[in-house]
Amino acid sequence: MLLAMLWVAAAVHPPAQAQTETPSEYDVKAAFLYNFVKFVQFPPSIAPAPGTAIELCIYGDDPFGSALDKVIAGKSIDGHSLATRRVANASELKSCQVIFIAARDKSRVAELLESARGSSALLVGETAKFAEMGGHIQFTRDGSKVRFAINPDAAARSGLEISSKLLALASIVHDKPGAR
Amino acid sequence: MSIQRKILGIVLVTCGVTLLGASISFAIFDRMIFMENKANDLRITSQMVETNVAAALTFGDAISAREVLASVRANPHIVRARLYDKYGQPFAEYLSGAAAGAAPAPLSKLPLASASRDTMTLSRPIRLAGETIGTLYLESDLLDLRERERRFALNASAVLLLSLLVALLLSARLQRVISGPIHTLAHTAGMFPRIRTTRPAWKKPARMRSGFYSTVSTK
Repeated sequence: MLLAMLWVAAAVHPPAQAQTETPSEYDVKAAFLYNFVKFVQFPPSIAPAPGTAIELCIYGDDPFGSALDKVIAGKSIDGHSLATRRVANASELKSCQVIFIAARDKSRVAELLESARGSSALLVGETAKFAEMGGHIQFTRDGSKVRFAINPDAAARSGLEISSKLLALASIVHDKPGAR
Repeated sequence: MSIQRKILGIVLVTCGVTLLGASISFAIFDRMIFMENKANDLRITSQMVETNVAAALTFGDAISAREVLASVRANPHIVRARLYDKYGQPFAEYLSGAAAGAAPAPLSKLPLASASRDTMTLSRPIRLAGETIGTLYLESDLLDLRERERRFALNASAVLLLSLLVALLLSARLQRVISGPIHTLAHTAGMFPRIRTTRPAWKKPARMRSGFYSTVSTK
């Protein structure tokens, strides 16, 4: 009887437990990545068709593990479900609405930015100067806190509309001279 | 008490009670409308804040959230604006100079809307893309209502007194329509000695007592 009561007490406490576990850096970045989509409007050329999922693609090494899958599980945005895809070749990125590239893949950043030229996918990275080089959103660190920088010029070139509310929270970065 | 004074008294009491009743009714109705409008204003403010604070709440930026909450200072009667995250924990708060910095109450103890003698509160969930990401709590004082009631009471008292004065002056003049003939009659009755009259038997009022006949009697 006592065990049953303890089990029930534990079962109804998940939200409190979720709070007390300290999220890892990539748990936070996964949540941010999911939430970025809520504040970005995609142009018709890349917006998902009705009934299809919004694709969050991880190009190269995947630092999230299962974090991103857990964050988007069962969620939807504007009637679209969300799906993750791990991609090894740049040629497979065409159907992605969001493309993330990890810091470990510095060498692929230039390749990604080149192949994404003309695409309207939201480019998110965490390498240094990613936004200056033409990426749209770059994760940064402020002590132990995860922050982000946005390059509104690059986003405008890609036809993406980033909400002013998101811009207000970000550091604004402009193109590096000669980057385009 | 003379007839004039009785008539005046009746008129003044009737007018006074009627005016007081009408004033109280207007005051109650005015208060209801005021509270309804105030609740509506609070709802509109809440909607504006919710829209602007969603991003800060989503990305855990408490500093930006506080800046957004501080925008409610445009309404000087809002004394407290507090954000709770999706777990019900206090996330950011704005306090006006007039508010006491009490410890945030748990979200579960906050009513959706309430109005007491001194405050009006509103709690609303903040939703983004179909998901509840937090709760906004707003608290407003009712000093404007107190001021409105004070001014209403002053105005109503002035109107009441003025109306009673007008009623007094008018009825002092108009009561002569009633009391004048009575005085004349009484005066006339006083001029003649009392004479007894014998009423014919068939006219004798068995049950009715006539005040007039009773004064006309002679010995």
